[in-house]
Amino acid sequence: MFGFFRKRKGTSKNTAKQRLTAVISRDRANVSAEFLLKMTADIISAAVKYIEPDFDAVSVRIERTGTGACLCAKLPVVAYKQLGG
Amino acid sequence: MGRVIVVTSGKGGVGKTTACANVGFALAKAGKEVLLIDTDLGLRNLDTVLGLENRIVFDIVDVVENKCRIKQAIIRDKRTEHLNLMPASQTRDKNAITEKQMIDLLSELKNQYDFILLDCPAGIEQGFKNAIAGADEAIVICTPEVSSVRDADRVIGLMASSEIAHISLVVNRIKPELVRSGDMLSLEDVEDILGQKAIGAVYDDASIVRATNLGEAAVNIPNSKAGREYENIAKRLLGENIPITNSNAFGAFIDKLFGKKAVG
Repeated sequence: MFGFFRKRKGTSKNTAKQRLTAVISRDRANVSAEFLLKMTADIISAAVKYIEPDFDAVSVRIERTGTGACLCAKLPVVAYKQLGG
Repeated sequence: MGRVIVVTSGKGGVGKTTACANVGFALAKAGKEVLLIDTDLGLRNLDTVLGLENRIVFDIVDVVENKCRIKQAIIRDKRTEHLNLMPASQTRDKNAITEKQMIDLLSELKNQYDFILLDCPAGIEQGFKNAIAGADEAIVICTPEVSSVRDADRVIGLMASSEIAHISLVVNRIKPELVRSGDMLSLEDVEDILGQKAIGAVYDDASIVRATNLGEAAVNIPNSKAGREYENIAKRLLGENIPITNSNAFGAFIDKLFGKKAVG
């Protein structure tokens, strides 16, 4: 069974890296997992009025800057939408 | 004016005291006047790691409470000319000193030494706050484990709002064989996650255990790999450009040579 996970998800260090990236992002923002998920959903729903993002490559995370934190949302653009009346 | 560097980690047991002793020793061997201050009140250990435990008369709490002169609480290491230790108190707790007292003490000592290294207690309570209060720079020690990296990120975040202007990262106890099999975060992984380049990568090394048993610094043991890397960290602190060796690539070559199966 563990062999199966290894093949599908890669090595245990990759799992560690993913978990750490997620938990540190929340620690830095001092927010819950739910908060970050909800904010991500709202950012995407606002953006889709103007663009069609590559949903598989969307990432929203909190990065640390010299003095505080920075919300970094990456939404690769597949297409722009027409601004209709 | 000397550089005051706090050695911290958040998580306990990752090698702060060992790093403090070895980097301090290496700087002293390089001819710098070094003072190590153990700020882990109630749980002092820098004295035993250096083998100086039998020479303690006064400690840092005696100094701030004016029970002795500063010089009386400083032990000069006899193995090298330039290494000095101010021990922590073993009987008092972390609230025996305030941040203000620490800042005052350091400003008095700062012009007498090239380097003052502060061995910080684990945790982020008063002892940590005291230790970072008077420091200009920090060395953050972490091991390639989830809990240690998370705690390192936390202390880096806490120090961002302090007076500390520069943070150096040291990744300790890397096990190359586990990194190669994909079961341990590599130096690069830790750098990625923390968004910070490391000043040193110390590989897991039995000579550290032996050195600590003897009360000797690993930098004084000729064939200690960890000792050599601590020397390199000291040189990098002094501004020398010494690249961090990635023993990973070499190890993978050896594995291949002897037919070990590489995973991941």
